[in-house]
Amino acid sequence: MVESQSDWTDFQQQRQRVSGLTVDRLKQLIHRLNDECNLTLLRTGKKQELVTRVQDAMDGWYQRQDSRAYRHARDVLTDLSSSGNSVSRRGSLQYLPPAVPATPQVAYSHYSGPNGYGHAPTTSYPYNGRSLQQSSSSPYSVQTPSMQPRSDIRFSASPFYKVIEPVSELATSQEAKDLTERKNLSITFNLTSQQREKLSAPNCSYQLRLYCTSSTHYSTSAFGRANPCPIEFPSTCEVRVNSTLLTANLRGLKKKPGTAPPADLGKTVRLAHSGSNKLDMIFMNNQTPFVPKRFYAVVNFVEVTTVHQIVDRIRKGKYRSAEEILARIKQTNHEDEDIVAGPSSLSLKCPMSYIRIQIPCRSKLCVHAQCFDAESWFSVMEQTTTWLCPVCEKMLLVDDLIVDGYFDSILRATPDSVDDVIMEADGEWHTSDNKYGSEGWKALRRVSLNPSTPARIEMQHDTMPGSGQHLPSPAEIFVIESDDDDDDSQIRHEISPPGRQRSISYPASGSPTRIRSSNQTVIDLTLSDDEISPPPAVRTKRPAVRDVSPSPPLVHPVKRARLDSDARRPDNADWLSPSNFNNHPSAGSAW
Amino acid sequence: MADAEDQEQQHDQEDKPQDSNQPINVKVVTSTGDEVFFKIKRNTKMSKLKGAYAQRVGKDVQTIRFLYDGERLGEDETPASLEMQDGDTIDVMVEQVGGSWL
Repeated sequence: MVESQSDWTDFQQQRQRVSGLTVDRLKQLIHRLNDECNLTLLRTGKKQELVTRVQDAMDGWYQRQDSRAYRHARDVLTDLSSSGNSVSRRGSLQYLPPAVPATPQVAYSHYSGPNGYGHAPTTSYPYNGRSLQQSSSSPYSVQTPSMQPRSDIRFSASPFYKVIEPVSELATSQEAKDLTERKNLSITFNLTSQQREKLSAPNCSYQLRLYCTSSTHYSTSAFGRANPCPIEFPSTCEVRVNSTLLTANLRGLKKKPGTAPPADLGKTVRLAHSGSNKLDMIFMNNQTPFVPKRFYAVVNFVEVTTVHQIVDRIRKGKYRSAEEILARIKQTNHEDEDIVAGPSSLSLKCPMSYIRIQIPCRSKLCVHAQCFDAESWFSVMEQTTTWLCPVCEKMLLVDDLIVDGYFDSILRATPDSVDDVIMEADGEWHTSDNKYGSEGWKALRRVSLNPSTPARIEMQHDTMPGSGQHLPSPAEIFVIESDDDDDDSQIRHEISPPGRQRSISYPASGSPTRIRSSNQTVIDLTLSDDEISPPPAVRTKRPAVRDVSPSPPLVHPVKRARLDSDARRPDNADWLSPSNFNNHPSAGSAW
Repeated sequence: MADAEDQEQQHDQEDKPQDSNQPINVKVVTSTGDEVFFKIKRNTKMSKLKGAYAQRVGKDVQTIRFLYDGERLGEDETPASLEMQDGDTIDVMVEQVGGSWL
């Protein structure tokens, strides 16, 4: 190891050089070190992080006296700092397979050369444009040591497509030199008779799909294969199968790899017995800023799971009961004396499709109660595979998805006309017009009418969205919204704006409530139920009719007045007109 | 009549928001109309409300902006400093990603 002693003389100097590189070069450096020295350094982060990573790796070699790796890194460094574009060399024949430790050192001498442009085009890229036969004895096993066995590329798992087997070799493109250079990649594949049979069956669940990724995600090194690759087609890309242009969406979201589904080759594939199929991908990597990339493409034979099947599976397997969800809501509802979370609105419409949710779905990790419609979500995800929660925009794992039984119970308890409900912090819910509500909320409402609990009434009142006009009320202010609290549905619907449906949601609770709340008089029960003639109205002055008072005691005289007008006028059209309160029912003065 | 008034005022604790640190109800509304109500003390910082809201809806606190009366809210402002009334509304905006100066 005499030689290796001398290797380390310039170690500090080389170490310093790393920090002098631009971010671009650093990334190239790391990429090459990963590829060629079996490292697993990340290429993301700030410059200093990149520098530190490389220097740490160098320190590691120093400690282990791994002069081979160090010499190699030094060569790469020299290469990077001297040549303007080291990248172009990476497509060369001498590009090394991952088995670096076993490779003789001589192989690296290439990198110390001034530039790599000298390679003849014919040798510079072994797999470019080569059509690959499906037969198992690949010609590349001899020619190119870096050719991977075909099954070794793993793409990010999708719930829609299960890769059964690749039907082609992994084709690799060369890196483009700049934004405008056109590249071409072709794949030839033959189908086995079994595959043909499966594909030609009516309503078959098998397809051929083109998977493509780039060197950003995939590399021939061990590290590159560690993570599944997101699907990334070149930014401008045209695919022809047997010279038929493929109309599939290859783009996904701009600059967001992994947002396009694998392209369905569909009917373009010849299923005839002898036919071999040829796929051409012509593309430009014209994304700015320009990042040199190689692209890898393979045709896979996949089994398709439809949206409907996936949704069905989730509905059957991932249903969480309402109790379970409620328990979690209550648990997360921690107390803070400064801020008390109040009610919030919960939309029964899917935030993506704006239709009423059929199967309420969300991730079990999401903290919000809002769900989305499973079928809508999966339909969108089939096209643009972002996997983002439409509510909180976090990336979801399909395995985390659950069907929310609590949300489902709300959906089942309300008719289709209800678009949203109000959810209290403790998980009880009701509609804004109080026609529908959870059992717990109904019970609470009954209790809250008891005069001994005014505070509760206050709170509930304040939290009604309709109570925006709630003002500090002098005695003269008339109660409208707050009589939602006294459970007098018969009255309530009277004062609802025209167009709202009349309904008597809680007829059972109405009568006892009235008895309790009207502790000053002895009229109400018979009144509301039998509609016999009421006692004289107590109050005569009714200004500010649309205002709201949260004060329960105020309700009684008012209610009595309303009740008597109520009893007399089934049409209820104008009970607000002052005359009604004087027991002069009059119809027709609509408000 | 006078009786009714007295009675009402006894029960009307909520309607005196001018008390120094009486909690007030605020409504936080997104552009899509989703609402969340909070009861906060008048000297509670807006940053805290924002944090509570972000946690509630599962968003990252960095990505949301609070607007009151159309003005962006600072972290240290409080309902008292903003002279908020009970029942006032705060609008939530989502931070803009992308774009560039013209």
